[in-house]
Amino acid sequence: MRQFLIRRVPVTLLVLLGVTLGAFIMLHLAPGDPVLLLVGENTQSGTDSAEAIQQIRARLGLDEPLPIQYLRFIGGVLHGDLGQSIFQRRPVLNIIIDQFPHTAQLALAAILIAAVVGMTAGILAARAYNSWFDSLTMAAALFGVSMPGFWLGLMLILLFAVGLGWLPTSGQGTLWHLILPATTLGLGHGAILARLTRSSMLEVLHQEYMTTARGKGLRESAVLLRHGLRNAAIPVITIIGLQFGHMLAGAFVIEIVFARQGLGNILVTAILNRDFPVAQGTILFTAFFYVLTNLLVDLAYSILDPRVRYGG
Amino acid sequence: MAAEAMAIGRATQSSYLPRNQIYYLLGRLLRSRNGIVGGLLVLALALVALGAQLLSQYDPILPDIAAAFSAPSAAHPFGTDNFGRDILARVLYGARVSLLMGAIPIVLAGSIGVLLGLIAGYFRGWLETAIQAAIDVLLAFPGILLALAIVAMLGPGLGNLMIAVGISWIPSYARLARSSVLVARELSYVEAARAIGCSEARVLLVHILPNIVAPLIVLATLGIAQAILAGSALSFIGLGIKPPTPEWGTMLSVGRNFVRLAWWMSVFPGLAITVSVLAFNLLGDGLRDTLDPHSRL
Repeated sequence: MRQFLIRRVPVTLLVLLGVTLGAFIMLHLAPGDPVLLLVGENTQSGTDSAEAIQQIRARLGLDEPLPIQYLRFIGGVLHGDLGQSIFQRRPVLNIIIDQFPHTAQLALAAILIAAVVGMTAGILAARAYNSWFDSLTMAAALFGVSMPGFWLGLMLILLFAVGLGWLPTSGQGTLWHLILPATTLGLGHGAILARLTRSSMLEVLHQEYMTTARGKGLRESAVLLRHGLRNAAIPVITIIGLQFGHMLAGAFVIEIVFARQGLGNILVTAILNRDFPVAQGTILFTAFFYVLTNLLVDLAYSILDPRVRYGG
Repeated sequence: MAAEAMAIGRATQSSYLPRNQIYYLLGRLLRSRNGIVGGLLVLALALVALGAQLLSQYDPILPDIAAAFSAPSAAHPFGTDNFGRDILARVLYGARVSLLMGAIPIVLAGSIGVLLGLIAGYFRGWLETAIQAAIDVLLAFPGILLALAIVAMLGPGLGNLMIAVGISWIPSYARLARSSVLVARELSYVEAARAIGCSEARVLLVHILPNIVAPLIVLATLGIAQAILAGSALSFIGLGIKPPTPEWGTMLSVGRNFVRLAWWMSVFPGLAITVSVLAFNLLGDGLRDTLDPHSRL
């Protein structure tokens, strides 16, 4: 455990530093000057605008050399300061903190759906290996991983909101608003989990301890769940953890489909407006979240599976 | 002259060796049902992309306002959109953009990624450390987020979209190539090639690369499926291909606005994406199963 932390934590810190550098470079090399956009909105005559541009540049610290801007940026990040939004004129961190719960709620609901649907389908398919049920489930799963999430979302809107009128097409606030987006995001990831759970179960089904468990007269469900699933679950749980990091980014597109508030919505708006502090902050926040989830998943993995010995 | 002769010799040798592996792959593939179905679908897709104008009498871009929002009928099997354009025609022409959007980023990512992976795995040392660090950082971004960030930097458009999706795939290739080289470089044929005095570049490109190409092809096939998904998703949220170019993701984003009025605008382009992605996934699964007996179980 300590060994693992000693090895992984410095690497993670380096990766996070690299991520900040990446996010900084990407958005500062971007063409299209946001200050010009701002000035264009606020001033009329040509003589005023040159001065106004200089003022805004100085105010945002955009007139300093890039390395200085980067160091200031890192210093800011360490203090939880991600800069000011150019258009909303409020701290980027506040915007992210406002929006994160919406995205997290969607991702949590989706991971729940993915885990329940995916693992159930995978276990049942493995138990019925090579039957019509197995083939059908795997065909559905393959279809599920091939379907774009935003299209699945549109089809669910068409069926349940427009056709049957059971659920709202967009917006948020109630549980009813969450059902369609969470199902959309969950089913795609559930399809991946179903395939993985099945192959993982198939691997343990033929182990000797399964025969032993049956031999001592356990019920089939107990054999499958207590002896089979417990051993098959390790890679599955790992993937669920990794998927959660992915879901945050995956939720972005789904938020657009359902016109939901959240990080995806502010990121896309920021990119279209060239509001780079917001875009940079959101990308950075998501990447940090993803890296830290991965670290936690690896940690959980080393605790769950005594066979894994990091740095042994 | 001598250099030219060597270059030709290298070219014929290197094209001979991978062909062996590719024939082997193809031979095994014919025994996989998924692989055959996927291969046929990919072939059909390519034919549609090439022959779009033969398959439809309608222009995919020219508006015909009088025919706007026509439901599917004999004249317009997939209906028409808000500008009265035939959706079937736009779906057929859209295959061109989608195949480009799938293949070009993967070619880009494949060539750069494999080169980096080869160098890292073969030469080791500080080069490996540096490349590995860059890979780790890039892998720290979820793929779609990385592509989003790059599109944010470059701006929307087909070319930039392909570059963005391509860059987001480089680390996967570099990682796979590196781990394959780490195994291959210890094998006796590499030692033999070195012993008879081959240059490092020759050992790497002529002897090692052909022997690790099979898993890279599998990754590329599955990668094309992912690239089509990523490209259409970016276009859907308005950061990819701009109208009026017939592109499935963009068509869906317009269709979303008319979801109560014209369901057909939201159904058919998405179906086209699903079938294309499914085709490459099936082909990739088939190839992987023939390569990795363990996953067949």
